[in-house]
Amino acid sequence: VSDRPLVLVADDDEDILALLVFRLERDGYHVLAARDGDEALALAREHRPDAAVLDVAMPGLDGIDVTRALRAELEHTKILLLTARARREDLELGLAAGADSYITKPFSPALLGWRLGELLCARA
Amino acid sequence: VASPPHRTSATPGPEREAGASAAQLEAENAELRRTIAALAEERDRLNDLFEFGAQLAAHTDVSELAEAVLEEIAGVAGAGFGMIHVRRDQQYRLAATRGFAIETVPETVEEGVQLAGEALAERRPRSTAAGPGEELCLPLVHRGKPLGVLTLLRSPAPLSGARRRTLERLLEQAAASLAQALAYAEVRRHGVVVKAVLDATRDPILMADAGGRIVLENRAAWELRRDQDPSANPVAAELARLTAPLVEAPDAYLAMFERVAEDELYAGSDEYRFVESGRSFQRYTAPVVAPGGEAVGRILVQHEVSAERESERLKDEFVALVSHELRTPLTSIMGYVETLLDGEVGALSEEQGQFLRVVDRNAERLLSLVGDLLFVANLDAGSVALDRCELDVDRLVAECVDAARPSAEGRGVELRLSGIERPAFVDGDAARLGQVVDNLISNALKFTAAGGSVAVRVRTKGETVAVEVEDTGIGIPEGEQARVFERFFRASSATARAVPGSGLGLSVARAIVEAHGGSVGVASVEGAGSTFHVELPVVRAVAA
Repeated sequence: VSDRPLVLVADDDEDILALLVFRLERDGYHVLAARDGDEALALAREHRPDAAVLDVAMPGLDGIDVTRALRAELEHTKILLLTARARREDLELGLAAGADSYITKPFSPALLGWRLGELLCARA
Repeated sequence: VASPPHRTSATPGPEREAGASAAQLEAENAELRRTIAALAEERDRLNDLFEFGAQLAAHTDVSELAEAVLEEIAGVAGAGFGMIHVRRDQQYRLAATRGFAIETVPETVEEGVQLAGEALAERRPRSTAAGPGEELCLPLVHRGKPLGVLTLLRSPAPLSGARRRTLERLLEQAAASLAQALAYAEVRRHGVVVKAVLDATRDPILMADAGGRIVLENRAAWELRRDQDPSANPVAAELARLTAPLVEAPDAYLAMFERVAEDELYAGSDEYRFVESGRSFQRYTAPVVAPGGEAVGRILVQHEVSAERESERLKDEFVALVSHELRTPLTSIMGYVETLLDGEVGALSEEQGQFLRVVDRNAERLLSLVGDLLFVANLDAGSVALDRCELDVDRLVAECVDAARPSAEGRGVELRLSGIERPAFVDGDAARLGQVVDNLISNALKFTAAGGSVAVRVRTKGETVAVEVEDTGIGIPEGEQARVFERFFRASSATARAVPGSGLGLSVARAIVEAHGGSVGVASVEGAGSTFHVELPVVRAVAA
């Protein structure tokens, strides 16, 4: 067991998922990857990650559903939402479900890493 | 008791009459009988006329009336054979016969041709010997206008003076009745034409009387309302109450009827949609105003717009879908390019870096196009929300100019900014208004050759603040200047030089500015340059 923070990332687009994994591993995190909401929730329950980066629009359980479930079970996990639609309703819904922050797609991987670091620092 | 009146000597007394001769008496009696007989004949004649008038009044149908006229007048004239021609359109057509077989008589009479035609042309009776008898043609003339002609065959015995006068009166009366029947037929014909036109119209059309009762409707209106209320002449307001629960916004649907109830001269239009069928209708109402100026009824015209609304919905759905589907691959392209450019997977050669920046720049361009498309789709759907706050226009513009400096330097175009001394604040969406200014500056740079200049100015003009972007570029032909803000429009000076663009940027800019209560405009001289300006209402100006 390392003291590096554990981050769960979930996106149904494989290329974006691979980019997220690459970026966050570069930034020194342990990364768990999920291809949909159900897998994300199962991994989170098993590994209790420090943070979760969740795409909002996923088949099955979407990012907001996962946020709601995680928030109820894992109080300490920081949640960052990725949304392709910069629609206010989606953002408000996500934040109301318990997300800590959001980034709109397309996103800068460097900015995402920085934002995540900020969230985890706030926790510490 | 009154005393008897005085007699005067001039008054003839019974004692004088007793002296008159019997022959004189006989002559006087005969005169008296003739007078009584003449009066009786006159009374009978008046009775006949009255009865004839009553009989004619019973007929509103032209051919029935023509038959009655022919029977009566042939009887009075003692004619066993006769026919009547009545005016229809520009002709006189056979309306009834007496004694003749219908196929043996002429179908039409032409004014001025043959005896009947001459009688019509001259507006007076004409007669001629015909075999053993006489052919008598009597025109029916009302207020100087010939309406028909009777042709009678009779024995040539002359008519008595009284009978001739009766005949004249009957002809006058017949002509008057015929005029009325023809007018009535014309009105009915108009009614039939109006109904046919209305029924052939697909838009439901209703007319209500002053009491709100539906008195006229076309087939489309009937088909639309029969499921709610199949009664013959429903009251419009009742029908509306029955229809309201079936539409999407019942209160808005009923609002038109409330306005109509308040103002009998109200005219206006709106749109509603049935929940179950999804059919959408635009409706328009206007009063029917009598020559005196009072409202005697009301017209309601509806026009189905279901197909238009459906295609708009599909278009919006399509654009939103495309925008979303384009953003996902763009996210990958831009994310991987950034990772490469950051040197995360190894150092890049100068050329590799340069090429990746080209990829990045074009991905950005595609992204902004997707954003514009989505914005336009939301605009059409009426769902553009502005995130407003109090904004310092000077600062907003300065940031946009700073952001454009690298691009201006790359193009060799001088970029200048002159701001205002006193800050002016507008109530606006910073991201959207920034997009507008960015768009105007990048356009100006795009159309200006190296060595030229772009000047950005901010100045207050009364209650507004204006942002002007002036360039020394290719300009816009005069005839096209008004159209550059139209969606997808591109000036010929731009397309001729193959300057890239979607034709969306300025239409989006205008939509954003107008959503803020402002206006956009352009002044340009082809070949010399263009000045675009945006004016926005100021909410707060700071004193110097």
